[in-house]
Amino acid sequence: MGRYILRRLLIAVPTLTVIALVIYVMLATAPGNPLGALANDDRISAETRIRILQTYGLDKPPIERFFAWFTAILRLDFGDSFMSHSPVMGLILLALPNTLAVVGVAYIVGIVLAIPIGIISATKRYTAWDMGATGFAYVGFTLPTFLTGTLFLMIFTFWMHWLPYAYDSNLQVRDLASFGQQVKQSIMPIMVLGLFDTAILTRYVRAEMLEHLPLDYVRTARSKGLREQGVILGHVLRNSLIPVVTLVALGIPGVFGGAIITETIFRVPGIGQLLINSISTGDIPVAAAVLFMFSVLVVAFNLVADVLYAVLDPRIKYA
Amino acid sequence: MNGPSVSPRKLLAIGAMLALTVSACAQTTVTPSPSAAPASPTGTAKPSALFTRGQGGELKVLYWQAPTILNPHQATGTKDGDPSRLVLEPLASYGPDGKPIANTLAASIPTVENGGVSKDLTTVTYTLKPGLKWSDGSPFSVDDVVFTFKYQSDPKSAVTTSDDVDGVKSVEAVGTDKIKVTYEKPNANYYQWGVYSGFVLQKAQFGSCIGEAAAKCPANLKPIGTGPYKIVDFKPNDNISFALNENFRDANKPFFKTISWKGGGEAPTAARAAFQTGEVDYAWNLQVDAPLLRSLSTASDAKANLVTVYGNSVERILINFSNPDPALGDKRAEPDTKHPYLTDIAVRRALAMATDRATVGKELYGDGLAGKATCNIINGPEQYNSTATASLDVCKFDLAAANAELDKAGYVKGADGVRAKGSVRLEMTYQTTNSSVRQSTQTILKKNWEAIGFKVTLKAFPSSTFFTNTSPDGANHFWADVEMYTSSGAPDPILSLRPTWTTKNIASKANNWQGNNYARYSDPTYDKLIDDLSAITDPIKYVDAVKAANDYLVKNVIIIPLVNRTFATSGVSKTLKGVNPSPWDQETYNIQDWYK
Repeated sequence: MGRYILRRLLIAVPTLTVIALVIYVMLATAPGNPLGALANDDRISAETRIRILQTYGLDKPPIERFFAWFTAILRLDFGDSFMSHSPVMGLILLALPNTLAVVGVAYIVGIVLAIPIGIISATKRYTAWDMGATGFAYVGFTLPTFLTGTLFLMIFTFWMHWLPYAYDSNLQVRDLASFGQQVKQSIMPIMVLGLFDTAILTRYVRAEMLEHLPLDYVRTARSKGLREQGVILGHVLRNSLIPVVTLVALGIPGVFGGAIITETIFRVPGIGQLLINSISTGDIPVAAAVLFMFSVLVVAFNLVADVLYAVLDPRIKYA
Repeated sequence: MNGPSVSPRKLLAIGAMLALTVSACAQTTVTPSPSAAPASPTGTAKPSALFTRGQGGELKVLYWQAPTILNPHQATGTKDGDPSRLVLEPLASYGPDGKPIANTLAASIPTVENGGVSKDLTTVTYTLKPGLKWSDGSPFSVDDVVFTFKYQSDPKSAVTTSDDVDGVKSVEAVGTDKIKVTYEKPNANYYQWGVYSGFVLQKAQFGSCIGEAAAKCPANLKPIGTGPYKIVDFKPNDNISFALNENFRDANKPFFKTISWKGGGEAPTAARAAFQTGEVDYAWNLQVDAPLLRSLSTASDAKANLVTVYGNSVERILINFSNPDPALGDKRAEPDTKHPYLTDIAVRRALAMATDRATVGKELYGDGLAGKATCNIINGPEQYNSTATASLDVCKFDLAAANAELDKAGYVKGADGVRAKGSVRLEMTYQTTNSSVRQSTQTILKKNWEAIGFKVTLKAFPSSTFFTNTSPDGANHFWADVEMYTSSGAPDPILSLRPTWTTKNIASKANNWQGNNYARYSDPTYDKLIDDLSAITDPIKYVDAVKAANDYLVKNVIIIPLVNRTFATSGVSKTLKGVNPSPWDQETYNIQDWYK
């Protein structure tokens, strides 16, 4: 197992290098530059533009810029934002708590809801319960978040006037009242994203449960005289959750990557907004850092998922 | 319509002695008319009796683009410049009528009459208000002003405001309260450095941030200033918390104790937050579809008023004088190529006559809500507006006349309805940025132009790839036959007239498409018009020469102006008073006068 992990880690090095190269060169060759917002301003001379772009190093070829950038990130130096002239890491650390408070909480809500709904839906197959849960799941993952998000905002904020239009990152949860405010300002994006996560996970839990229910060991457990609840939770669920756990692990990088559309709609200043803003303003250091860290997490959690799989299922052995 | 909205960051004015008339026009606004605004040159006629310092609570401001930096010299857009103005100030501002006002550091506006401006227009002397202090309590000094000039003019500082110091020989201290700006040669735009430019940085804070150190300076995110507010906390890409500056020069101002400045999201919900729920007091740049904007802002229970002001932000059709044919390879749209039919004035005239700008202005810009149709390329300050163009045939929508023009020039309709003259077919590509208003404009004009025998292919690109010199789909490359966008102007029209159409500024491969003359228009007559214009120092003659240049461009269809868009389009809470946007300065230039 140890050797397996080591081998996987070694393979990750070239993988990430290639990913980094692709990310950087794509960003560097994409049109758009940090002066884009001033681009149609006649009063800024060509010389000024060129001089500023030179200070960003944008006059050098993308490959040369890539090597400078990549050797810097090996020293964990992600450079400075073109727009804020401040360290990229600081900007990411400002955005991350907001993303975790919304996208992270939504993910947890999704998991917590999906497991019981999936169980009920599988054990009461083809009943009204199951139909309802299946219908909910289909609605959940067919409705795009830009639609549900906009709808929620129109209804709860602009029509009912119940919830705030924006997420206030300065709010500190100290007492019950401020916790209530936090709930109010994050409930809509959490519902939008949670609906989506729940929908997908529910389908997996249900499918896995259905696969295990007719198996021999379940019949054995029942014939031993175990209570149905014990059979379902102690035996069927435990085995069914193995692929679900790996799926959940694989989804964790997505939590850190933020949710571009939902964050924009509800004005949550998280990683998703940081990424989309940096791409549209040509702020390459920020965009490259966010995308690269996301790639590292994807590679890392793939490994975590595989290891978890072996830990949870003794039949699986890596050599 | 969501192309980057650019505020006239750098302005030059032709002089205070011009009797400028009022160009601002308020919509459904609670604000006083510009003449009632604190526009007095002495800056003393302030409604200071209206309130006392810190009387109000929190002011909530929403910009749907989030701020990223608060040093205006390093800023790259309105989103940064507007909030930084609450803290960092120039010596003076531009009022709604394009005239300078002394609402910041200078005690009065220097003019030739009062001796502040030398007769030869090379030096300008500003006198500072007495007893000025920085928000940290330290005294403000002339050295800070001199330092700021040094900071700006160091090429290694790489400031976005370096054009403000272009042609400025020196900025020196005279005694302890005077600043003397000297230009290299007589400058008709003698407020170039000082009015809405040269935002003064604190030497103590930025002293070590000059040159190469300028970019990495932490002070860029939390500058100490002289403005009515100071920065308490700034989260880049998110929000700013301001508190009132206890050391502000006017003991009665500002009104609000704190300002919460939220950034991000998009315009339609920003408009709803202002008009429907009233959660924000001031919402910036509400460029949404005209029908939605109208219904939101005129609803009986609307919590805010729509405040607009016209400057010179003209949505225009650029005509390509070079040949964008891809078959030319490396030569594509280079200045030495010639467009097969757009260099023919008859075709351009026909195109202009078949352009229904009135419908675009009415249907898409709400006839004055977010813009109004115009056939001038210079639309303000008021005295520069030409009245001669209105009667020109190229400014009137007349399909029959357009058809006749093309018939006369020998372009014959083929079986497919497309006109051709020999092998030259009137097929064109019409490009712009992605936005619902622009795509609707494209649809209307395509229909117009196809009615007279053009074949029009429409293209639209994201503004991030359109407004850049590096993209083949960009406005600079102009690899299309016509293109459409908005460019904003300064109080001095020469700043638009010179770069956009003179030969010297042609964009080409050689200068990496950095020139501002994307149309590749080269005309010795026009070049001379502009050379002569820049030599004029008599304000009356100057106005006439500007009008002549405008008329020349319109009459010869070098450009097709469509709509003069509102400069500010803000949602202002019905309880918020004192907002009086100037199209020649930032929307926040008078925030010390805002109150409830």
